[in-house]
Amino acid sequence: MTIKSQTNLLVSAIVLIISIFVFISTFNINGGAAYFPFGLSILLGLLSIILMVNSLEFVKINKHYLKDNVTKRDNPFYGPSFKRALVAGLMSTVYVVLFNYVGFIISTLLFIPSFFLFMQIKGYLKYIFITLGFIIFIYIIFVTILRVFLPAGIIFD
Amino acid sequence: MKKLLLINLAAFLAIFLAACGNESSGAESYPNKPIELIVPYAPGGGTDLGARELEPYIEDELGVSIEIINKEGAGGWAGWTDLINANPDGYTLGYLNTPNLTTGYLNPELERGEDLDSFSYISNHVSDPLVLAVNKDDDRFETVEDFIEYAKENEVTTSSQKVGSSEHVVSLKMNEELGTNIGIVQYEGVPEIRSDLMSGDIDSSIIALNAVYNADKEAIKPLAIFSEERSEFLPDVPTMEESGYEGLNAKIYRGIGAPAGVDSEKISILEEAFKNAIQNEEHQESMKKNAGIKPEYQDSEEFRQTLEGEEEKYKEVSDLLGW
Amino acid sequence: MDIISQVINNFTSIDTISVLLIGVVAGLVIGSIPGMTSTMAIALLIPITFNMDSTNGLIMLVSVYTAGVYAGSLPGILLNTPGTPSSAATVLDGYPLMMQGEGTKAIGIATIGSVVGGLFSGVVLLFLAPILANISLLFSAPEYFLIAVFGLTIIASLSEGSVIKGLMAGTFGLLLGTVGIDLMTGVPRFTFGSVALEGGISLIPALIGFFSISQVMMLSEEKGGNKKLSEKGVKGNVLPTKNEFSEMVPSLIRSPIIGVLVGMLPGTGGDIGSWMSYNEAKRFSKNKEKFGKGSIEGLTASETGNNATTGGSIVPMVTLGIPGSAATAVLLGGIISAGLTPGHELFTKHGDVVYSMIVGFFIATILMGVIGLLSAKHISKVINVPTGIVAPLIVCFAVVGSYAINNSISDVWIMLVVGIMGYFMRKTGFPVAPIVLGLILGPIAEEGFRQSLSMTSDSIIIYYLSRPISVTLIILTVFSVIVPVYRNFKNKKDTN
Repeated sequence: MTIKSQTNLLVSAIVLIISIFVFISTFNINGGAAYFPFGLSILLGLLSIILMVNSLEFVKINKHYLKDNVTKRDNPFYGPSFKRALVAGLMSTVYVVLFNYVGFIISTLLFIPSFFLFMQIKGYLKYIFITLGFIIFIYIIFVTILRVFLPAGIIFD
Repeated sequence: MKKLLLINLAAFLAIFLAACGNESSGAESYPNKPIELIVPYAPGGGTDLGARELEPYIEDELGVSIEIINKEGAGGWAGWTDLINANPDGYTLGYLNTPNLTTGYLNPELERGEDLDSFSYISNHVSDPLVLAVNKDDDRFETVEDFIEYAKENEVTTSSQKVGSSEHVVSLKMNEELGTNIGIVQYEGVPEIRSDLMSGDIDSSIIALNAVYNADKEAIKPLAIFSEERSEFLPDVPTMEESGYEGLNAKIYRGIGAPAGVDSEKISILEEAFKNAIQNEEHQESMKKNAGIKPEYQDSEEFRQTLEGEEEKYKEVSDLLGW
Repeated sequence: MDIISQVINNFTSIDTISVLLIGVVAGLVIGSIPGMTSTMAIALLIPITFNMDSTNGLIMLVSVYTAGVYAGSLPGILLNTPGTPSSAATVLDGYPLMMQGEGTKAIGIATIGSVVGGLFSGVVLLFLAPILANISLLFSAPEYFLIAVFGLTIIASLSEGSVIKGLMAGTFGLLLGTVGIDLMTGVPRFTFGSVALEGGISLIPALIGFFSISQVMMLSEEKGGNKKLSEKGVKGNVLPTKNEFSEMVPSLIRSPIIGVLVGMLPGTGGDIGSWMSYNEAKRFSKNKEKFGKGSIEGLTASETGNNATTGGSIVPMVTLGIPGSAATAVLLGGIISAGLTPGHELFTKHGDVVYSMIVGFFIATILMGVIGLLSAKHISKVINVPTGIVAPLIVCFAVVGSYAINNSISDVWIMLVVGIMGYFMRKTGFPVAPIVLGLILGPIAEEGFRQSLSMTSDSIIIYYLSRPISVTLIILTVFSVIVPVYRNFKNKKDTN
């Protein structure tokens, strides 16, 4: 509960930076189109400052309690679970890159089993059947029935 | 050992020759696989429906299947960017629409590096003139002269689909040359325009003919048409020129192009095929009936010239647009 | 009487019945795939209708429409991933319900709501179309602006916990909505030179990413070999109990009306209908705290609201040729290419076609409900699948779905980026709903306002005050802001 304030501090700082960046960018926009983002960036900046102030106060008041009772483990961004989430995000990113370069079939063939490994799914039969089943299912629905084109991969075009 | 080497060499040579042979025979037997046709707008929209109407006739002419790929975005530029980057082997074609194509590369805000040389041109498919329409029950305007005179003394509003559209430009020209006070309201799409015209929230709408043709004729009354001659769809509607207002022609064009660098032989083949398909009577009838839009074939030279004309037009009014 | 017999005739033919069935199934399948929307489904099936009798073609398309909007709730409830943007609000309470072990029940509630909403809109379509069409004409830019603002006022109350964070999320959503080429002046905003961003942050990839990718990342936090999506398993009935049903009733009455009204307005469809219904359900609810944690009221409101927009958006389409939503815009294309012209003519010359279409709509809605209720128990068994298996499949669906919308890899990237961002937001306690609302309603509000400025040479205040609907909306909005503030103030005073 209390670690939230420290996270909030960090987040409010980031958002403040973003709102400043947006604020400056609006000066490059010509005409009436600039007003709305301009106002929003100010609003966002103000809100982030309020959040920052609130969190600072909270942290100040509870400094002693925080020092003794809160450990690293309470931080949502610490530890193996966060790392795992990041890996998942990274794998998905690689999948999207491959999806574009070598096409749907190959990238999916690589992605699904790798993810299964990562999530420690047991039974290699599952790997084969689910991956193939999924690919066939998508292919039939999207390409055959709906005639939507999935990338064959830039290098194959 | 030597024998093996010789056989290998022979095999290699044979494969090499066969590959070369394939290269040239590729050009001779073009097309020999399906052709992609990029429609840079949503399915169900005007360009898309036109493409689907034309599809079977082209397939007949070329003997291969046509795969329509919808790719909307940025007024058509999402699709055109793809088209430009596609392999110029003649197997990727795309619809090119004015004025979106023209405004897209002329608008300095968008900083696009492309221009007319980024494409090759095959043919024009359809054209659609703009029409000045008002609400049927609006007593102020029975004729286009009523409208223009009224607009000189009072402020009137009209619709436009996005900045830089043909209707936007022609309204600006009218203000400049006729002294009218036409205020332009930008809209995302036709449904809202029709709704606002019917409810009286805008005074008029300058809009492509086929949007009015398909509309309920009970509610909308076209006053004039912005083309050189009257349209067979609205034979009773005078042209702007007839009514004394010259130099205000505005038409949209939709044609087919390809990335720059396609073999001229292939272009001729495509040109011929599209000519026959577009001029096919059945197709013409069907387009007129279903889409309210007239096929107007132009070959690749003429189409390019049309586009150059549009470019000229837009450059002339660039200060009016603030470019 | 002639028309009635023609219509009955239509429905006794095998062709029509099979086309309706195909439509419903197609809608169900496509709608339940995250990334595929009912609009897409209709668009993709239109070419198939070219070779059909036009009445049958239309019946198939409306069946796809209604089933598609409904089916979006299924992955929303089971996987926290809306199948279509219309079901984004459904996940807020549908998924928590599933996590509490009430997945089957949630599907049942969503199904009943969808059917009620759809049928109501069908009745309205059948009997009130011309009147309502005229009402929809009264709405123009000023009203759109005010409706959007009205919808945005709920942002503060949608933030469970920190109001500040809710407002920040909403503001951020509004900022995201400004990305793209400005309609009024044609200048690009925050596009960083990318053609893909010129159209703005595409809503569907953003929604998919926001919900599904962030969900996958959260699921990945623990090894998923044996962990199921929900430990509580699949228990219970599909049908709500008497008590639960009484909780649904207020939404079942209120949301269809909201949905039909929203549907009627061009440019607003299921996504807005579901949010407005959800908002109003929360506003009037006696159990506001439950919203976001498995509120039956909220779930019902969202699904009833979104299906009510289907019939509602068909109203102006057939009477005025003005489509009430993106899906009906495509449908209109189908009607026109069948050689039919919307308007008075359609009802008189081709009455049998229109009425057959409406009857088909009714039947399809009921059919999808039946299928939904019967298969709910089986569908919800999905939650017994280990998270490790579900996770990558969700990613694949998200990627394929986002690509398929517009054959664009950029949409996939938007989906991914928003998704990862969504993960961080969820971990730091920023509520989801305000961002989505800001993204959807922001552009409508801004555009509506600036459009209204260009529509009049009078002072803008006089213009707004001269429009009765605008005045009503202004009063509504003011009240909706003042009343909770006043109540809050009074509570504080009382406790002192």
